[in-house]
Amino acid sequence: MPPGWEPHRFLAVILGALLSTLGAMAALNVLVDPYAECGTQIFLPDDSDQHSRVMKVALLRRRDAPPQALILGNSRSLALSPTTVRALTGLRTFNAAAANANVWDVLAFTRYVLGQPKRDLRLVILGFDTFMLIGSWAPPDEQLLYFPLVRYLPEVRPPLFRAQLSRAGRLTSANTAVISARQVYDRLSGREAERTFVFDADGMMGYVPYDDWVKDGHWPGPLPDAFENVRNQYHVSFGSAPYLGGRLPAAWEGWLREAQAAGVQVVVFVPPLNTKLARTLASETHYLEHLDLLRYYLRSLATRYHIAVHDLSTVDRFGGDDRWFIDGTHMIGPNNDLVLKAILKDVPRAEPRVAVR
Amino acid sequence: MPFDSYAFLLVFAPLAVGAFWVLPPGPPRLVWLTVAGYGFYATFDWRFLPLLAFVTLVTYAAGGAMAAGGPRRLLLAVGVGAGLVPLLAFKYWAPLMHAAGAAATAHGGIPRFLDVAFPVGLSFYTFQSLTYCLDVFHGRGPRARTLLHYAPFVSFFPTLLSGPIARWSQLGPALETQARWLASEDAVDGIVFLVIGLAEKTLVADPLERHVVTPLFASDAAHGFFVAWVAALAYGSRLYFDFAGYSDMAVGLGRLLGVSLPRNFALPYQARHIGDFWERWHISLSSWFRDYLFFPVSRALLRGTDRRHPEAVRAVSYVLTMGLIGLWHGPTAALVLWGLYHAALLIVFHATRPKARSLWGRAQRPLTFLAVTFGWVLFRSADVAGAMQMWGAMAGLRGFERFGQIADVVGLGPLVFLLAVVVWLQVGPDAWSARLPRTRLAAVTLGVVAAVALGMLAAPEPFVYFRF
Repeated sequence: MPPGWEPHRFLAVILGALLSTLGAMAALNVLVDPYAECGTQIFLPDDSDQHSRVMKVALLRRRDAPPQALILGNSRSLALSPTTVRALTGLRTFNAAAANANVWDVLAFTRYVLGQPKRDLRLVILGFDTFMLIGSWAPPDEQLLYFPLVRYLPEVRPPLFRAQLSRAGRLTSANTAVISARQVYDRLSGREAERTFVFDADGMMGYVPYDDWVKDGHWPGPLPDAFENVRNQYHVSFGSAPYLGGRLPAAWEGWLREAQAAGVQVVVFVPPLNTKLARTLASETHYLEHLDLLRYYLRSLATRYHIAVHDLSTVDRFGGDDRWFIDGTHMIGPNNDLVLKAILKDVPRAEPRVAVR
Repeated sequence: MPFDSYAFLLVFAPLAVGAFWVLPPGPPRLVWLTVAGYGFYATFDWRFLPLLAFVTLVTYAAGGAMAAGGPRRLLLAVGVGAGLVPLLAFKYWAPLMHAAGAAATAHGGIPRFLDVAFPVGLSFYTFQSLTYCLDVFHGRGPRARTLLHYAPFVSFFPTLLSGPIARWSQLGPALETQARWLASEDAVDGIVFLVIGLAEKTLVADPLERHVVTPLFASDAAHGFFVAWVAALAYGSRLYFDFAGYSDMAVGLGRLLGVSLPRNFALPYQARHIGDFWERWHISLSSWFRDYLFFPVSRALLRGTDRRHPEAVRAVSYVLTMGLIGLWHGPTAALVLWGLYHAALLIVFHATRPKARSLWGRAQRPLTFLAVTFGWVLFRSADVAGAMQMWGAMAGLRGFERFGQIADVVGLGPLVFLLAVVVWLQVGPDAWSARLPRTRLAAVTLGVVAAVALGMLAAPEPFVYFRF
């Protein structure tokens, strides 16, 4: 190295620049809080990902009061309307479903809501897809290990100290800073990112622009390309015979016991498939065996835990229509509300709870 | 706990380096370096600590006994055997048995204790300890004064996992004569190397792997000419920045401990010919094979043939050496073939050397780069069939894409980034050749680069050479 500054001065400036840059990135990341880990709440997280658990956390944090009813499940429950549930039951409702959800999502969000001050959770509606019970033991989604949800998964989380270090790493990360900077830029420039879905304040996902087509009366029925994609994907998913291990049912039943111990009523339903898709899968894959095993298991849960279980696996079971699917699995338009009406018909309208001293 | 982790950079390295300089020179520091090396190794797999200790003890004892006048050939065999037998067993036995389909028993015919993950760093610290035995045998260097000096030589944590493979003559003197305090020049050089190495890894190698190499090699069947070449260029660039980044970090850590480690890369993609490339790429390994295999084999063959067929002797020596370099990387057909491919390039180069300049002119350098890049496909592909598919595409057998199609597949951003990286590799300096001025601008730039590089550590890609 050519001579110049004294070495100690050179090193001091390197250290100063390092700390200043880390500090600046951390300040930006805390301000924008793109992973909803700090609760700054100036910006909402990036919602361009329907896997987004952090978006659900951010929306839950923004509520004046914790929800009294939760909608849980995977992507097939993302478009169930909390407004409809409130109209039917009188309960403040939040949709905490997430794409590819498994038992860890259900545990984390139930425990999170039960852990809030002024909690008043009374009802959980769970869309129980076959993938959530049958198959391999899946780890939690990475975002479930972010704060604050990580606190609620002691069974699978790293030690909290390590989780804190990971959070510190994310907060001083250049990757996070790039996301934060993009959000600031979008906000300041008023730029709307192109997206195919959007979340409302109650966590419900709307499909862009398909919801508008439904409103305008132009919905054509399942989109052929999307239908074919799902069919191919399900060919793989249902390509082999189902098996039911011991750990997943145990985890589900653990959740059920926790919810019931907290006084929460649980309503479970099997989400529907478009009839054409169901018939195709039935003839070409092990789909029916998967469905039968799920039904068998849910019946046993209903008997043992006295929960309401609704098998809505075909549209005729709830008065739905095969046209109201995007791709044969994800419902749109009236089907969502019809499902909610079918499963909530026996749930009494809520009365305000009286505080007992 | 790899180098590119918060735990290493923010906890282990400051603790290891700081305690080293706080302790008085001599045995306390040597003990500390050994403890730090074993502790560092234990974070990967503590079960292999006895293996590290075994290799250390036997090679030290063999070297010491040779120097004391013991039966030299027998002791050399014992020392080399102690290093090579575990290496062969762990690295080659289990995979070969698996490949041979020896599934007759519950563990595929493999003893249970061998049917485990490969001990990380074994290829490197084995070769480092073998150099000691071989150098003592040939009288090329002194023996270690005590086991206290030798143990940190083998378990020196900056080089333990992926080199550079240092020789006793390079590392030993620094361990035997320690300064009281870290020289300020070493501190600056150490930090500079550490920051540049980390930046090479996290700011260049990892993004290339994530955004170009992984997607393109995952779907190699569908590529045409240009995308296949983009994939190969991206992998060659990624491999260099990954390993050179690791080596520079090791050199930086060495400097912070008052030790000058050897240079492992010397702008290899600026090589003028394939022989030049091998003098610049993974220098500590290629020079190891040159000194301990190529030269002795060549000399023996020349003697055996009365120097009548020097060209044939060179060719045989290249095939043997490069084949073994391929095998050193792993017991797969693709890696051995990669070694033999380079042997072929070296043989052709030497056969045409007298006319090379007139034949190829100024195209020599880019041609060498492209030939090396072509070979990396074997290094990266899961098997020979996958490599052949990619080679087919690179030869134009699968058609040619339009620019729009290339940008669609690779992405315009990654494509521009790759182009900049390839140009840099052709004309830019590295951590060794860049004469960084000691100015405010340089210091601030280094600090910002360090912060951004540190900030990219949340999900690093594993170092490529950890698996070797």
